[in-house]
Amino acid sequence: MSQLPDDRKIRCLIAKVGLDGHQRGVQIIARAWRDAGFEVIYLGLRNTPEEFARVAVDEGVDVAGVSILSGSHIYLTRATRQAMDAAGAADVPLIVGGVIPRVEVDDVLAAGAARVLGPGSTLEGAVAAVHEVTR
Amino acid sequence: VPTTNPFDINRMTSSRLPTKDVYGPADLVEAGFDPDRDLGTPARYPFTRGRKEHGYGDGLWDMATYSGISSPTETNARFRYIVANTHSARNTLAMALDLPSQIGLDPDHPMSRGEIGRSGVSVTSLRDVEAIYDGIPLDRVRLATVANGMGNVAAAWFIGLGLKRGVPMTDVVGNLQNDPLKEFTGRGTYIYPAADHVRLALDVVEHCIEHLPHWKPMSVCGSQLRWGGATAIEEVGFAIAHTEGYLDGLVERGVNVLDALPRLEFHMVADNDVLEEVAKFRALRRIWAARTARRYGLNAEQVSVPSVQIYTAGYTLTAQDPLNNVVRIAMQVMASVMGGVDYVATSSYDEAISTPTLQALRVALHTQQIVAFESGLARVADPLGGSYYVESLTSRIAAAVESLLDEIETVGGIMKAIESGWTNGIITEAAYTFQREIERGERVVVGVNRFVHDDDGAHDVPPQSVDPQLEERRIAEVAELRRGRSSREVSRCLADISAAVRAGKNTLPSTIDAVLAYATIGEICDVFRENFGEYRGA
Repeated sequence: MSQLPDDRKIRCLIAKVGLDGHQRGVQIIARAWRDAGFEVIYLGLRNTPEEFARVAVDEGVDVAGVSILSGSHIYLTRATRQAMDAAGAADVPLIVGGVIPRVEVDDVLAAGAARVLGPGSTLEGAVAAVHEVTR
Repeated sequence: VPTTNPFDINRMTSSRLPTKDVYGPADLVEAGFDPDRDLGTPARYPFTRGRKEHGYGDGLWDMATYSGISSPTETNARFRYIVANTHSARNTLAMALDLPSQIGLDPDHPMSRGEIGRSGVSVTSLRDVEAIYDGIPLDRVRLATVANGMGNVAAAWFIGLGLKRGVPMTDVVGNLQNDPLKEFTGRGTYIYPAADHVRLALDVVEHCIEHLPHWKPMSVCGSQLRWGGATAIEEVGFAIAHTEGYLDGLVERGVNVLDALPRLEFHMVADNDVLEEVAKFRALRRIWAARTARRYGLNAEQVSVPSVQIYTAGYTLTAQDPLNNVVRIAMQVMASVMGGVDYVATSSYDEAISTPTLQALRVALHTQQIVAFESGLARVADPLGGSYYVESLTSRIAAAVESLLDEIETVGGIMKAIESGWTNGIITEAAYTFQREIERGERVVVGVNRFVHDDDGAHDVPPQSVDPQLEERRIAEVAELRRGRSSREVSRCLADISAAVRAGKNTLPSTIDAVLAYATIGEICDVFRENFGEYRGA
């Protein structure tokens, strides 16, 4: 389940972008992804979209995830998606988690997220999202 | 069928201490409870029964909410509303700062993009602070903020505000969080390496001890660790370990521990597990008193316990059926009051969705007033004192906290525990376990994993909107500020800060001068960045 068709393990990059320092969510998602058998690179706090995009390219990841609890999810999703496209990771899907009001989910999707994990999301759902976007 | 699974979390407290169906005298013996040693009377060592002789008969707790939105002007309007609608002798106005302000970045810094005015008010200089408190009588409020990485600059802002308004410093009361250590595990608004942050935080405490008799310059947080996933035991244990770390630093500088003790506060959470929380607040005071007596060689008359502030538990609030959160917040306030805390700040029911709307803020204030004036809980000091269950739980929590504190010593002390990532590992593990318990349906969260309705969108709260023009406006305002001030004076003040850093002197006086010259938060923090370097995570 945790493997791609070519038998390689799914590689995931996960980080906080922007200035928000609340790590609880991002750390447990990283942990859940590891437990699901993915290779996970956790970049920690306060990454710029450009830094994040560069690592996504350098590490050749299959999936990228960012967590944003500060309210700036639409701006940061768009900035991260654009930075990834510009850096050569246009084909890497971006999963966005955090305090994202339901009424803004469509905006975050339009800004470039492949999946949105808002309040009430589950670890199981976070693992399923990776499978869905790499299928 | 009675359960035989020792790990059934319905038979445990929220922090996973197993409980029985009924408690009696034998449980007190088993928990090692000694009423003479562990209980005493209110306002006396070991303060288990509270810090005040007549409980809330000596005055109700301070009631606050956490608020600060978008621009200084909008925050000013909200603060005026709070002052007009609460009736304490002094209202605490807790200024929630946006992230660029908390991390010491000006609005025109590239990393500030998208974050301005989001999680709080954007504050760049003393000019903004003057606007936020415009028309608010400073002798009727307590100036508070959750500033940590830049707690020293926030202290200078509040002092500068008093000076500019010509209000005597004895009438200006400040209340700072100024607890940088927990930022390295709980909240992430650090700027410099941990030891340098501790130095700046202690500069503030030392200055306040000498010059500002009514200030509370440091509020040490167990709360943030709990929000990060810790148990009640870890919340208390790390709060005590961090406080001891700061106190040791003050003593090392030559500050008398008896002068420092009354200036410190604890900032804790109130969770839904009402009686465990009551026991937690009682245990916190009791362990603190006993350890402080031992550690600093004080007698029972000399020991004091920092006042306890609580903020209701944002992590228990759900985005699903958000009005349910009103009930959760009410239980948390009740636990706090039965636990004898000194200050309560209530979350708003929409916290899982956005920063508070005015309607939610109003309910948050009323919740405290209902508990204060309608529930009867405030009438008697330590109303649960002597309860078999609560006393045994208090003793068990105290013992578990002592073991954790011993463990911190064995990993090399609190600074090592933080720098090596040991603390963070414990917190993350606890958060992961907690989340899995919810997803397996073992830990019940109404409206989330039990009693779920298909139509949970019916109570959706609209997120607070942020003016799309705000960012450009703030950038223009900082440019205007820079044009309108004496740049020579600002440069001189910034050079003075740098000189104080290098000379090993207290940096707060020169920081106050810089603030008065309208140096920006980014400019001031850049001086410290140049001297200390930036911390980029473990």
